[in-house]
Amino acid sequence: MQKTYDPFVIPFAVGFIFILIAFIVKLIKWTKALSHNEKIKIIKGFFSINFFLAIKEIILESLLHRKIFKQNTILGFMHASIAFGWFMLILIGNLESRIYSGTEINPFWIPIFFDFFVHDKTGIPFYNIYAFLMDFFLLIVLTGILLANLKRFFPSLFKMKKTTKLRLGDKLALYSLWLIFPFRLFAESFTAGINKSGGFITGTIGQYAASVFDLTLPAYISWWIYSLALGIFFFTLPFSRYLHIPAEVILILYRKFGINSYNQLNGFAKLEIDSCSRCGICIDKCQINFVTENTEVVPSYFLRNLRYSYPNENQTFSCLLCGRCEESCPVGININNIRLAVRNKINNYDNTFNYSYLPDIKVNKAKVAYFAGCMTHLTPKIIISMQNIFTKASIDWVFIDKNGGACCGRPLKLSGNFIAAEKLISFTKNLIINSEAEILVTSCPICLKVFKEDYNLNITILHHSQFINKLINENKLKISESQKFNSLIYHSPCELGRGLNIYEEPYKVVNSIGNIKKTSFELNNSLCCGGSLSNTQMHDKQRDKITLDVINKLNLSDQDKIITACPLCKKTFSRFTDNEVIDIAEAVNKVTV
Amino acid sequence: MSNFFGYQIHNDRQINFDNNDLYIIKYVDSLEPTLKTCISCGTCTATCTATQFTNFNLRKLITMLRRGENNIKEEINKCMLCGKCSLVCPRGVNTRNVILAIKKTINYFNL
Repeated sequence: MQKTYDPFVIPFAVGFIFILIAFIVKLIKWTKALSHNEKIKIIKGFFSINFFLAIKEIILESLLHRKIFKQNTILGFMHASIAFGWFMLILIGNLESRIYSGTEINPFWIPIFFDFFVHDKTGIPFYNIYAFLMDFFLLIVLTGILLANLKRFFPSLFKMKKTTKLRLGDKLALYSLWLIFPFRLFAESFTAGINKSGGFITGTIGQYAASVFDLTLPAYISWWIYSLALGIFFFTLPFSRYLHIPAEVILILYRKFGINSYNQLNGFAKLEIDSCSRCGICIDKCQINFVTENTEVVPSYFLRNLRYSYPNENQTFSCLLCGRCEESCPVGININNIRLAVRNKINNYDNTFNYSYLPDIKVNKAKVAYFAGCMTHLTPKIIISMQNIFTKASIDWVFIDKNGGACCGRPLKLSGNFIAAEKLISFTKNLIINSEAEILVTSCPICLKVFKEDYNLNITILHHSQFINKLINENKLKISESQKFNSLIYHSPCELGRGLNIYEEPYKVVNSIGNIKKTSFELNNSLCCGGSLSNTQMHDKQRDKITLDVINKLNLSDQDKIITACPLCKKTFSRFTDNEVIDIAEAVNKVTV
Repeated sequence: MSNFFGYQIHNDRQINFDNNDLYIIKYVDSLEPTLKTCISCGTCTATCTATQFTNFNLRKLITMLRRGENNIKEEINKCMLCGKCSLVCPRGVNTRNVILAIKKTINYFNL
């Protein structure tokens, strides 16, 4: 190697040192905010199998972007080609330069600008293969960059309605990222043209260019721009969305080590916030965004505001917490947890809710305790059906909130008043414990969620669809074939499906009582009915818009019936459609003898 | 003279709207504009989960605020925020946010 330094490496070198320091500072920040137990978990994690599982996930997600591929192939290819292609360029470039220089420790910029410093590579074993691979991966990255350009200006080509709006720092980082690889191509091609070397792309372009004009100056300028673009990208990275590149790796590690952000804005939540790449996949999933035109609520912008300043009230409270964004998030950020934590912070001043008026209620003892919930009390048909089902299957049961018990606490929790929710939780928990039941059945997915997550009950907690499924399996309910329904459209409630991952049993029950008509919104892609209690700020007219939109999208024909498993969904839908909206319990009660 | 031959005499509840300060309800209205459409029908109270245990009455609270009687700090704490009232409201008042807005107002003015 004749020389190992040229002034043009300075922007890259300074940027690289800066990014290293910034990464270490960030890593300390993320880890410092964790609790003592969590830190011990991390140390233990490095010596467990989870470490290798995390490495596997990092390769699959951070480099290959498997989750995006599953949702949208071309978008997945765009992300994967940039990430994986760049990674391979760094890897092969390093390998090549290390082999060239033997054991000698190079200045760290040598692998990046290898072609500039080393002109005669014929001494490296398999130098042709290296040249081919470097050109191949450069081509892949360039394809990705081209797609990224197209996506920014024509998102519809990627089946996306909208892509993310960017801040200044993001724009700077994005434009420098776009510049890096074209100028790397120019620099390497021109240098190859001068030295008559290079792979199948750089060599060809270089030879052609050399025949047209003198390449010495253009090559040198290209190396400068390449280095500058890298430097600017590194300098803007910690302040832009591209912080997700290092953050996501750490996030996957910590998550595999068993750390989570359960409704707290702890260190892990901050790491999650930094890991949001604002890729914009959640934007098209959000019903608030595409129906009510309230564009600020989507996680991309909510997390962005949370990172740089603080989200406004609209962003925090105008969310249905339906979880559609969470399902689609390629990074797997627990957005609902974070939003609840922010709500809790805002409503923190006020924990004066007082339920000392709640009387002692005596509950009879039985094997099965049934909790209808407030919403079910507004849809008495469900209660009557459940009563009939219990009688038909001759179950020993007790109706805990027969005369209308207290609320389960979930609505308070959804509004951020955690301490007030605790008060109601302890009241209802006592009722359940006093019944000495082995199984708790509820008709309301909202109650079910809080029962499972916050009640710490040591009994089986079932949604009525699960309980009915159990009864059918045990042959305690006989379905009469003649009364089966013709075409049922199952609407999966948010809290039951995405919230608690209960899909199988409701589908089985619906299948056994009639024919399911599939829509394009099944399983975790189901839409929110719009009635969600989580949204405290949205106007009724906007809610109605969402409900109407869902009904339009379900494409109902005259004989279709909407069947759902949530009293709130039933109540919301039945106002807007002439088709019958029934609950699973009602339907089962009708077709059983 | 609170107990006069077995009869109770209520305090005078006459309101002078010239003197009464309606700043609380005005602030609540600004936080949740749908409250202006309330017709005080009382459906919210009829369905209320808390009302079956205690004399919590959302209709009364809003009426009191409209009259400028702002002594509702303790009463409002009885709400469970379950949302039945907003489902039954014939005027589409976002009652859950009304409750939160009242709580916020109480905090804001340090009542």
